[in-house]
Amino acid sequence: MGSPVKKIMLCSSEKEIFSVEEQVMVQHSVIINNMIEDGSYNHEESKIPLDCVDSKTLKKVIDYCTHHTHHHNDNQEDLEAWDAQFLNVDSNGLYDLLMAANYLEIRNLLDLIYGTIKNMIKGKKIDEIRRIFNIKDHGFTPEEEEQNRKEYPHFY
Amino acid sequence: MVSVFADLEKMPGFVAGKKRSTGRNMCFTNLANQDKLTCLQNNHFFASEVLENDDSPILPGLPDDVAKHCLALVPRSNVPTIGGVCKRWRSFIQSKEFITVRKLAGMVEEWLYFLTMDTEGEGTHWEVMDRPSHRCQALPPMPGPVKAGFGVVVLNGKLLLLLDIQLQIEVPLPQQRFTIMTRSSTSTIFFCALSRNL
Repeated sequence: MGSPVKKIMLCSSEKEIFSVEEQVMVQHSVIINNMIEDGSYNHEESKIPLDCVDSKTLKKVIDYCTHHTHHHNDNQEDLEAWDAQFLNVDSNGLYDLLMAANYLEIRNLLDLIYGTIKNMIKGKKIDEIRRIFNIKDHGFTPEEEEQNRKEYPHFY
Repeated sequence: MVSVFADLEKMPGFVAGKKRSTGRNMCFTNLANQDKLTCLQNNHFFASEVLENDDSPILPGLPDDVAKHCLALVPRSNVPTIGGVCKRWRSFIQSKEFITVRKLAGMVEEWLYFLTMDTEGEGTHWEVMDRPSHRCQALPPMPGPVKAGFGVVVLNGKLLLLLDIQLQIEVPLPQQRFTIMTRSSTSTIFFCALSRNL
């Protein structure tokens, strides 16, 4: 029998405790890796407080890290399909994930989300972009807006 | 060859924005927490004015530094479009910070600038090829008479032409207008430069 899987405790903003394999988080989160390495995490009593990450988001982050730890040998297509499904959330959910990945420094998740947001802008028309990102006040005067639309109709 | 996009300098992304001031915390600084709401209500007009002009987020729901990173990842060929989305985006893509953030994000696109002869040899114009998508766009005409005997260099994503020793022209992005830094004169020449910076 091998030694039991080491676990760490993560605490969401709602004070909900999540128990996760240490290896999973260490592999993905620069911050947690540093905490384990420098000994600031005590396995007997520590919980890592993540005050700016809510339970729903934290659960998703843990899902992502767990999947990518245990399935890193899967073929690229399967992983990409899983990622696409994983990011099939509304924009608030996406932003929450982005902020959590930023806070925990989970590089591959960050790149994934940034890439998704970039693709929400790339090649799109202005009206579409405004709708996607809920930009209600564009700040142009009605005259400026009309002028832009007249001169560059292909942008809209 | 005719300049198809000769009016690119007027693209929505590059019309100069007004200088804006920030007054975000002005009315809140010396007030205790419980007074904040009253203050906000009393200053409703002021507050909404500030929101409209200065403090609207680049991407509603995200801190600006994160949102800026998102915009910086968009291919350069989409930049003129995103300049028309809203004033906040426009002022960001026009700023030096945009180039800095793109550099930090490791966004490198090769853009090939070349000078070409117009049909029937009447004059010349600059074109730029966006290497990632292999599309060519003509730059707006250079100001003044036809130039000769110049040097060219690409610096920080800008095509810098040194004409007749005295005339310097700067093109910060292909869609932007040429900026004359100093003045001079004369005839035709071919040249090309490769931008690797932005």
